[in-house]
Amino acid sequence: MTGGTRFARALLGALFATALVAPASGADSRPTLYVYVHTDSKSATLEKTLQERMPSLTVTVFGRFRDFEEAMSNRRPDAVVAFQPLLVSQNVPVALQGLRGEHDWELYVLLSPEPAGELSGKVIGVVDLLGRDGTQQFVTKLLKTPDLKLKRVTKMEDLLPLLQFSAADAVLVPAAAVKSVTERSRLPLKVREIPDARVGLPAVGVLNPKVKDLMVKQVQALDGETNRTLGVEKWKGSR
Amino acid sequence: MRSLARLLCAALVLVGCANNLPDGSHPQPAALADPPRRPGKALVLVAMPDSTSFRTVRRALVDEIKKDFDVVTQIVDAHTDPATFGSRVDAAHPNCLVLMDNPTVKLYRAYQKAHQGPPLPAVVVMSSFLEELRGDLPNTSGVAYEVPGVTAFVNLRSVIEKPVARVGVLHRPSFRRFVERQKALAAKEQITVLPVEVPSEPTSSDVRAALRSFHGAGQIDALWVLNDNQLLRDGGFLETVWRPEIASLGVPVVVGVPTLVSAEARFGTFAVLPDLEPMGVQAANVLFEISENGWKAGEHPVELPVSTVTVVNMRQVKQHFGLREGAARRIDKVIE
Repeated sequence: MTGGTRFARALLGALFATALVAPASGADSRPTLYVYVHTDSKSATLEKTLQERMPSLTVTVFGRFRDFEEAMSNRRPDAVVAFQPLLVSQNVPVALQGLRGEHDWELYVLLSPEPAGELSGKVIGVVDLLGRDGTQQFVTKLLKTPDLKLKRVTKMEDLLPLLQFSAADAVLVPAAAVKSVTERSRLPLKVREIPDARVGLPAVGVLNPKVKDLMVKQVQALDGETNRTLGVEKWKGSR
Repeated sequence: MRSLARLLCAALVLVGCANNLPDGSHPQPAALADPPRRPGKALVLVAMPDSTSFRTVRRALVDEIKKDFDVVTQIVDAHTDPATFGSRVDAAHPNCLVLMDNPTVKLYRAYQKAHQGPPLPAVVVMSSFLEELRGDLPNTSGVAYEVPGVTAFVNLRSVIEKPVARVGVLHRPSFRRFVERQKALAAKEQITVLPVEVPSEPTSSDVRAALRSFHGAGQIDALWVLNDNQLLRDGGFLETVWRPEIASLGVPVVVGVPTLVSAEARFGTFAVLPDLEPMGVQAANVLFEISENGWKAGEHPVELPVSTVTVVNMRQVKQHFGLREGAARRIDKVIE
């Protein structure tokens, strides 16, 4: 076979494979768990890991806020793992709270190539946590600055390009995520701590009380590495 | 102008493939349906070809804007002429247009030229070389389609153990400005782009000689291959001209088409492509910003795509360049 033929077959094969792939469907009686957290891992990788660790559940990891929001409206799950402010905004009662050290919150900081200075009027990059309006309210409250302009991105990894392209003056990240950004980049990034910028860590909210015990058991049985991927060290039951 | 037209004709023929990442992450969409019109809402007209990739971008865009704007979608195909396109725009009377792909932009350019008065604002997405096109399109902004080299190089640097500090690239004269911009962006990340220009219609010898020039002083750490069908041509050209030289360079090859990373292609190590759903979200954000600025699209800079998808030929990486610890979780698609 010539290289040209092989190449053409490779192209055709790839296109054929795309056409064949379709989302799985069918009845699944297992309780459903939605996950919307921002981590360094790809959504598909996280979903695969969580599904393997919690085989009694059907796990769906969302990479985009609108998809999560739409699914919450149209196909309510039995439980949700999300960062605390999102559960509050969705009126989902918390059954388990994630902890890091002894805290159920984490500090957020600003990362910027230049000292951020006065924040008023600045463009801040942020992962879409609560949709357009919700994220704007969340960030202006956290930074105590009303006239910020936000650049919302879908994934944590998309924040760095905003700084590389000078599309944002600074990006807002959990303090724990600073290392993963600075390790990847050679930009002279500076960290600015924000007083009282505490944000609740991921928590488990249960919408269907009938499956609460199973959910709690499954999530509490997660190993250390998976918990760390979710941004917590352990889980504490809520009353 | 002529060189731009030529560049647009010749470049990115492979873009269609680049959007079809064979991982099922972009499921086949349902039939297109616009949300119902509501009184008092500004209208956005989306003009686009009908294919999975464009639908993916549209869906993400519409999800973001549907609360604030009404949307009508006009499918553009090979049979859509400027008159038909213009009459559809006039009939819809939109506040803003979203234009997807170069033929649609061309139709809009004809519409603009045929109409008096202030041009309608437009957000362009999934069109090649938007920054170059924009000079000829008043009141237009959008999201560029080409993934900046710096994004690919920084991703590669975070995946392989070997250092990535000097990246070679071949380009034709029409790509010179694009490459210069990439050079400046890459420098921010302490990566030096070493461009070698080949003629507008390069022969096998031109491409071979350009690739061999990277053997000289200051060996490159990676080779970046642009999506330019004049440079890549076909499988035979890749086999006889590119592959032997790439093998001799022994560096990772960064491409913009996933099929070039496949085991069968025996070509690329690492492909970085625009992530289509986030691109739709980014276009929606541009639209929001323009609307908040009195629909002055011309004042909004063309944005670079911030979200990408990485495809890695893992066998190549492990055998020749080493895989960094923990890097696998940052890869979207692994080719073994």
